[in-house]
Amino acid sequence: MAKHEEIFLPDDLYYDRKDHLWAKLEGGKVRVGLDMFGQKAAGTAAYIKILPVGKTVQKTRAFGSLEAGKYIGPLKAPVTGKIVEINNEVIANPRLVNTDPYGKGWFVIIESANFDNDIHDLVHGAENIQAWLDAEYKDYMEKGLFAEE
Amino acid sequence: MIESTNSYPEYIRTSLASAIALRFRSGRFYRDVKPYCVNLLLTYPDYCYANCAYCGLARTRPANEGNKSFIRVEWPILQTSKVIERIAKYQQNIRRVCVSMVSHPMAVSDTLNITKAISRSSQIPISVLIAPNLINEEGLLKLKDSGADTVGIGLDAASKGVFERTRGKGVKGSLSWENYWDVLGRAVRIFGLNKVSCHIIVGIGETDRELADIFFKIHELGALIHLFSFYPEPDSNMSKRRRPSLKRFRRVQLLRHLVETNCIEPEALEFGASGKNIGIKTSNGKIKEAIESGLPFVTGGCCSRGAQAVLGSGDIACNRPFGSYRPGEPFRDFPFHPEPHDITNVRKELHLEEIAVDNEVLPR
Repeated sequence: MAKHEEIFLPDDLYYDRKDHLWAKLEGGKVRVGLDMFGQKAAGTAAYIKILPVGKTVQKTRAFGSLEAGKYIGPLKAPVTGKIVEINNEVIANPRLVNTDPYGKGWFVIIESANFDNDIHDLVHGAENIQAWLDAEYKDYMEKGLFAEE
Repeated sequence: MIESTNSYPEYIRTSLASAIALRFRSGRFYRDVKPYCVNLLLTYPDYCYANCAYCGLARTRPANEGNKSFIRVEWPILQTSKVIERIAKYQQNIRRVCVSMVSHPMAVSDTLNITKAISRSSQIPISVLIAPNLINEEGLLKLKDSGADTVGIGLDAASKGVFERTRGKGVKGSLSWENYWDVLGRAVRIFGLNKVSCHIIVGIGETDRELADIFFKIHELGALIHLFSFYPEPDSNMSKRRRPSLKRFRRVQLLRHLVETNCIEPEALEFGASGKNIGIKTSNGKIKEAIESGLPFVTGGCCSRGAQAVLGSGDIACNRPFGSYRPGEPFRDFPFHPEPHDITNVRKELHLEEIAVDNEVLPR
């Protein structure tokens, strides 16, 4: 698992470089959530909206939004496909995004139309993730998005 | 006599925006808004002795245990010494610090000591939001000596009737309308014209006529008017009350601006039987000019040291981003100068075509 200070990124996930959504391949389906960079920079999640089951989303287009105390931003799909399941638990309790980002804090499961094609620009593999994490951590600290100890 | 121990309390609250700005909390702001003022709030184990119906800190608010919301969001409790250190560290990003009192026996001496400590460690101008029920003329003079250059007074209510219902006898509160006005006048005399602000909350039961009357009265006194849009605090006495509509708040913002910039006299306003503003008589394109400037809709707050307290200049330090509305909603007040597309939206939100506006060709 890639780690820097309190930030960690599991090796088995695929990461969107810009928006920090993660994707996890589960059979032919993709579970989607927000990584620790995304959730920490947003702040404590207060409201989450997600498109209903059955909607088709395009890669990089919003399937929902996350609102925190002082921020709102789109949740952008890391892959193209049909939403087959949404996490009602995280809609009812948005803080799960912050407290369990790789577990109970997931958003949707997408039936991917072309997973292999969609993942080419996502970060994957232990070494790649660690290198990306180190660079992102430096960038986020410089931008003042993370609290200081 | 005000007792002073020269030591400040160990802990203080900061607004969530200030906690992010000082990097006690991770987070970011929608549209990359920068919070320019560090807002501090005194905190005590026995909370605030007042019982204002709309306030998250009210004495009888049932959910007052723990770190509950105040003005919509969490206000983290932090070590005061560390907050003062961070203010000094990040002072290049900060235009002002505001220390807010609560109604507590220790509040005056604690405020004096915190103000002194901040003014010793940084060059940032300091405001104090005073509790008029606790402070007299001697206290105001000491505040000025301690380093505060402006003071704010949270009158909040636009009329004595609203005050009594929400802060006085109506809620078994101890605050007095007359006392607030007395201290407001003394503060203007001590700190100077446009160096005292008076906070008014829109949407807690007042009429448009009452708002207009209070705006003229505050302006005549030489104080500034800082508006807040009511946001119901969960579990407070007014938790079920609806917020003012955006249309009403926009019109009140415009009205405040027209009063503060001397663009209208009381006779220019027409009200219906219920006290609703139904007409504005003005000329020379003043309303159009005000709307197009965007200035009426910028957050009302204390300015930075370099800025003159030019009425309606929009040059503010205390911009309170997303203070009384969620980031997913239209801006109630803009923590920056609104951009052209924001002003386009504001024009629509005002719905001025619904009220009589004389001698003006209004933008649509």
